Amino acid sequence: MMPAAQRADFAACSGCSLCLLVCPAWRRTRDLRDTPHGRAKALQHGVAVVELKESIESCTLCGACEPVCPENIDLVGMLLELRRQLPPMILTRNITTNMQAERPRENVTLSASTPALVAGGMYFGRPALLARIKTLLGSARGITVANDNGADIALALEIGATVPPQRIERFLAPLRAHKTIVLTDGLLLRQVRAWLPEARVAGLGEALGALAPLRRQLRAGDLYVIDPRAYHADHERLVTHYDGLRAETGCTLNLDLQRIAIPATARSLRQRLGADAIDDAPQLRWLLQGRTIARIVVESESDRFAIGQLCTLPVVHLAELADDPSSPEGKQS
Amino acid sequence: MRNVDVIIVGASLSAAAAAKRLTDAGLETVVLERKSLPRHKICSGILSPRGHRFLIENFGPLPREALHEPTSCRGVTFHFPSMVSMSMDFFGGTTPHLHRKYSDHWAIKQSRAEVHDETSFAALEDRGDHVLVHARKNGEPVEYRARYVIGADGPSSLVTRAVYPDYPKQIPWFFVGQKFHDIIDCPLDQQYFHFWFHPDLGHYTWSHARDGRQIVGVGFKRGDNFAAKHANVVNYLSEKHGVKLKEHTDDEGCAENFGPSLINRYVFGKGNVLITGQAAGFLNMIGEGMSCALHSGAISGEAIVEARLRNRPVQELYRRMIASEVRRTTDQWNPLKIAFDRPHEADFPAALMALSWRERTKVLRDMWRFVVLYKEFKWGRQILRAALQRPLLGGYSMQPWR
Amino acid sequence: MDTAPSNPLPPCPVGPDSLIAIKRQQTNPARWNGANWAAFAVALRAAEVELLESLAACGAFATDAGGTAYGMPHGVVIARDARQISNLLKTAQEHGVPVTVRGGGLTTEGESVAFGGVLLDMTGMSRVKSIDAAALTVRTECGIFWHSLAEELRREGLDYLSAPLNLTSTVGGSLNVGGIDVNSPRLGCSADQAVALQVVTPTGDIVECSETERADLFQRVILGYGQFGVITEATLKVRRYTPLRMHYFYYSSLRTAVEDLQILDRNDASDYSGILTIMDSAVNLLVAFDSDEREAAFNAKWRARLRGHGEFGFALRAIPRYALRPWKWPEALYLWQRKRQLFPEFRRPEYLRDGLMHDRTVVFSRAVWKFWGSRQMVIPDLATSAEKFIKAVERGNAVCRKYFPYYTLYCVGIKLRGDHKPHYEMSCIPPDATGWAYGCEFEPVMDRVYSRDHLQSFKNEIYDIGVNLGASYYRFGGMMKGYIRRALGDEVVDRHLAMKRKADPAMILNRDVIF
Repeated sequence: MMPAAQRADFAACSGCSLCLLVCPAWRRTRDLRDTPHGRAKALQHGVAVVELKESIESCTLCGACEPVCPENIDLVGMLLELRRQLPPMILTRNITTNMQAERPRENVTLSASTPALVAGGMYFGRPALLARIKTLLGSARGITVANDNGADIALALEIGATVPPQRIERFLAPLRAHKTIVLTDGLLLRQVRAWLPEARVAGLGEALGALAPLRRQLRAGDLYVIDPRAYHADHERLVTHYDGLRAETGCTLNLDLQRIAIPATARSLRQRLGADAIDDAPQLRWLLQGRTIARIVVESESDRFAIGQLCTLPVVHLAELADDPSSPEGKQS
Repeated sequence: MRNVDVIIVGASLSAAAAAKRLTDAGLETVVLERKSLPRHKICSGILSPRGHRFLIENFGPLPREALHEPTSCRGVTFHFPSMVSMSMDFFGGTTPHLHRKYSDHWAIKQSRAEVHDETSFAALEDRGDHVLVHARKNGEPVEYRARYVIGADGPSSLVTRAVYPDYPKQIPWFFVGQKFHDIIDCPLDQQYFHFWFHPDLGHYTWSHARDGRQIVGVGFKRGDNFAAKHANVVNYLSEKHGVKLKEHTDDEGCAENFGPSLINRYVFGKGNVLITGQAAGFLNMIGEGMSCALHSGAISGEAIVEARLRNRPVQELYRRMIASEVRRTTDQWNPLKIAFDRPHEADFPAALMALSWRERTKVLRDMWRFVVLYKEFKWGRQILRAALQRPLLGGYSMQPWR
Repeated sequence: MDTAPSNPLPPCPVGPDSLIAIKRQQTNPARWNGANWAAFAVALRAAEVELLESLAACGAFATDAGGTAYGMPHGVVIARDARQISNLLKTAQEHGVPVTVRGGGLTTEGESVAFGGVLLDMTGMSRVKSIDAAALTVRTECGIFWHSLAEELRREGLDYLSAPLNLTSTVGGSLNVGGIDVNSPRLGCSADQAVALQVVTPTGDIVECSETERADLFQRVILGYGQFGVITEATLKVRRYTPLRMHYFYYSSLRTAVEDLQILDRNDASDYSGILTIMDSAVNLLVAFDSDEREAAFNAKWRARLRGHGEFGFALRAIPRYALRPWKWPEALYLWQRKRQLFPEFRRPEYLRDGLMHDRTVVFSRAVWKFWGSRQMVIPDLATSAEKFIKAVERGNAVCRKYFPYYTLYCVGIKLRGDHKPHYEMSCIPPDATGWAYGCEFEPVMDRVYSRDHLQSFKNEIYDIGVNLGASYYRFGGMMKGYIRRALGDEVVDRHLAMKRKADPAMILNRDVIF
């Protein structure tokens, strides 16, 4: 991915509609206005940002549009910027106030030789899974799990709240020491990569998927659900990574014909915040349509939860593969 | 104060072309015209086939009232002092003889832009994100606020002067006048536009038929006497071509800027103000300015549409887009192009080759003598530079443009 | 135009010999004057059709892929179902409001641009209704992109037959204008794949039609440029999906390459064939196969007869040719650069498995967007009989050279179906073609900003070749208003115009496209 500074903005949109083909919001409404194409054209014609509120909030931020854009527009970055330009919600104000509050700096232990793991709140709710991930990703000297997981920053980015620089700095300070940083949140991942260009920043799926013991557990009949945000943020490189995974294991990936990830859920901002009712079924139906599969393997814990709600197939987190009772090797261990 | 997307100054063909592009793209466009419409305009009215096609494509088939009699012109006849004459037909058949009073009015109406006539442009202030335009309607001051302004107000453009106050002093000016005569006997073929390469007659000497009368026109460097110059041409036509005319019944004239197309020194405006058509310096070799006015006008409109959608400076886009029209127009004056290519819309090399060797030599000698007439303007080096640039750059340099 | 076009065209007052043979038709229409719009909007909403009048909705449709024609609709309707479109057309018919239908918007001359009135966005109707894997057919809403259709079919191990090499053309759009693929030499154009259609007529009737049911309507609507109805659903033939065995042959002569292409087509020697060039200096004949058997048969019988070379052999021959012509070195440099950019795109590892190309439509279409389409599709084209084709390509090539430093030609054959002759009347299929028609697209590389005007002059010059040769214009509906009468003659156009008037009394549906 090119740095944002070299990428084009909405003015470069030629209206080719390629983003529609991969846009989950468009799949839901079939309304051009709910797509990057629609927003770009509206802005080119001088429509005020606030008039596009509904469209801006309908975006799922899966990032699928970015790798297919022939004009190389920074579509995710621009959408985040548009959210910042909308009139703030109450939540936005609260979160900004919270982030501005001074807090004592954490004690930073410099352990450059270990990777750092920035895990989302969901993983702290499942200590066994987190422990498994730590074991898998830890180097000989272990792994450092960040106390500050930047969840408020991720939420602020998503809802368009401004993140104060001191808050970013407080989040980054302990991470600066690490050469390798693994993040579970795809949106945060994108930002951390821009903030810390020197570090090797990977998503949880990519990091785990590189491990031979886990790859060995994947097989034909598995639907491997790539976390779209992390994947699309670095598509050019990861497309090869995942194609290798598929070729080696025979699993099915949640990729379309353009090798763009089909998200398991397609929730608008309001759905994510609980303001609108969630309806994941249509998107999940599309994900599974016509596929003969026996098991679903996910990279993201939130996907496991969402799919598990609606689907009777076994759903396993990638990190749990070796423990999966339905997997032959898992049974032995 | 009226707030619009674009103000176009002038209601000519270039203005209509620009207005068409802008209104199509949904931009609110107001055209300011000094006179009351339909208005008279001094012009030979011979539109090239390319211009004719543009009118059809963009405004539809021409109505009869937009044409003089004869309604069409077959080509151009060149006459030389050695009494060789050569006729060249336009490519693609005859071409319209426009009645500018009605053709321009028709085109501007077809563009669907809002027209404010009897409104004369006075001044403008480019404020960066908009332009204030000061005008007078029936003597009363009126103001407009526009995102962009297009100056399409002809050779003596007030918009050009507003943007480049020193411009009139920087180029040589010509006076072009025509008188209308009732005919006693005229052997000149009515179907052709006649042009004389004769240094003793003037810098630009022509004659053609219109509505039962014969036009005798002459152009020369400003300062000379129109009546004397004209009388000289009438005598010449009578003696050499047997053209017997009565005393003229009407006459008219205007200032013309001949040079810019020849030496690639166009003016395209600054900031949010674009200049187009003959105001920018577009003129074909036979003095036909309408086809390049239509095309350059359209390009000025396109540049604004594009600049707005792409959020880019309009001058940059206009200059890049206008390059093709500059090539077309300046090619017509480029000696290398004339010698080795067919830049005109009539086939000069073929007509030349149809003559005998002896006549051809005469023609070339006469042409050279005629060109020497223009020596005083010291354009030689600039013409040469432009001619050499053409094959090397694939076009003309943007550097001399202002 | 405010009033319906008159018939026949009045004589030109300039003279019968003025702009010989160029019809006096405005091809860049004036904006519709908006008469009755307010009453129409009220009536439409009363009929429960959602009408979007915001700038955000209208602005998105201001131009098409050609980017030369601009027009702002008064309002946009997003297609939802046949009943809604029927209500729209009935109301529009009553109020005389023009309706312009748009699929993927991939027209190049403003055919899918609304110069005022209603823009009907068909992409709102883009769901697959059912797939019959046994009968090898699919029933789909017609605003669907071919690519989206392929996504759905592939889940069942199926693929469409042929569709334009462009991810965002729609089924409805292609059925209306043609649709050419590199398998068209065997399978014909996309419009030939339709078995049955659901059509909303200009007066709002919802009807099913096919070769056996209302055959006259079926024949008019297929390749009908949207004049005789809005295609809302179609039953299309499909096939089993296969990856491709690709072969590339390189030529330095257009003529030789075209001759070889025609030999392959005539002898059914390949499953896919087409020519893609870098100017006229490196001409690539692309040949591909669905099965090992077909590939082996080609290798045994035809491969040796082709006069093209492999990549290496071509380079070996090009080096001395350029070495002796230093003035052509910039061209050689360009060829080399272009090759370096282009070739990897056709050999991306995620699409290449065991030497077979998977998802060819994605590979080709992405390359098209990346290297040819750019933001403006300026691709005038010519469709001729097999006999006239070389002449058309060579003359068009000369025009490209005159207008642009760099360009590409794309040539492909189109198998004609004898039983579809009635569909072909007044369409992209040239009337004198038998067996195959051939198409060539002339695509400038937009390496700099060109004025629309320059591009229009270029297109006119290409289209004029078509008039001159008695050809037609294929693919994106390039057969626009200003040319249809010149190319096909007044008789056939006036006959179709009479049918159009009967079917669409207020002349509201896609009125600025061809008549």
